[in-house]
Amino acid sequence: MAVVINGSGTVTGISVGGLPDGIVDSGTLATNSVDSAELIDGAVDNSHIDALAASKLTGALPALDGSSLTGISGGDNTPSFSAYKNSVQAITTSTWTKLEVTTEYWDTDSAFDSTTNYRFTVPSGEGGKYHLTAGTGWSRFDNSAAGRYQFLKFYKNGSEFRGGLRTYSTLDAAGGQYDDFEYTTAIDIDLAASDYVELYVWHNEGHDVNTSASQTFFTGFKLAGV
Amino acid sequence: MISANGLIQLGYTPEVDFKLQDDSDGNGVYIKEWNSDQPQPSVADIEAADTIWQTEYDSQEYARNRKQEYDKLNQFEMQFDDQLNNTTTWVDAINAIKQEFPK
Repeated sequence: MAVVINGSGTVTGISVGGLPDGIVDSGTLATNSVDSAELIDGAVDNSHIDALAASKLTGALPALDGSSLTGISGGDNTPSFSAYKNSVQAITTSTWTKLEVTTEYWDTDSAFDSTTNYRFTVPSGEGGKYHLTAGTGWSRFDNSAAGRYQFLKFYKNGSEFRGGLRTYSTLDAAGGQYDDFEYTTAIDIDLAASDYVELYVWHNEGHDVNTSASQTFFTGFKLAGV
Repeated sequence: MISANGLIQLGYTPEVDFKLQDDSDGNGVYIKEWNSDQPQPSVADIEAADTIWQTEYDSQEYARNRKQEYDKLNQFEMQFDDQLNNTTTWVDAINAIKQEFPK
């Protein structure tokens, strides 16, 4: 077919492949002169897409699984554990006593010792920031005198941990007589591999006081993304 | 056995003069910190003092039991009603508690 330059300034007679590569560039085409009607299926493939603006990611998007997501840091909040005690424990007056947390709900990395030392130990390679929560209760605590206190504290590597957020609960149990108490406490704490955390309680009721059955728990997980 | 009550009986103050700890490992209570300027007493001295404290405490059991029962009564109202009605409900109730928990 002959190439014809029409009087209207248009050109006809050019077949597909009739123009060499590079002959038509952005300077040759008027703004918006190529729209969807001029693009056949498959004309724009991945090799011709330089970048896609976030504003173009709208409407129905294809489903993505984890393998399609990259550049996302932070991990999966493990190690994670949750343990409790479903029986009472006698606590001697004015004596810091380790709570025996004897039953596990879960323990993703087998890092909680619920049989001997009742502690969470950070596994190798899992150092970082952890969120820990604990609670206990007292059964028939004699609060007939002012100045009687109860504490629940986290111990890190055998020593009372005072850093970070509030590490204990205390109650000035003045007034009344025998009462039951329950409370919880939590911390965010930096832990390195092999560090361990335990729970200790203290009271000055004057005699042994039992913790409440099913009120003692210890749970925690590694914070992701920090 | 080391006890806070024994040390208190000897005149020492918890968390000031001493700090006791029990690691729940079967080894019992031990003195984690001794902060008093007085020498640390022997275990035997602590045990003897604890026995004295316990004896004194046990001797007051009747009083603790009585108080627990007294606290359940609305004594002022009972006395007022007795005055008004010429009855003895308050005296009767107190006597009943004393008899239930004698010295």
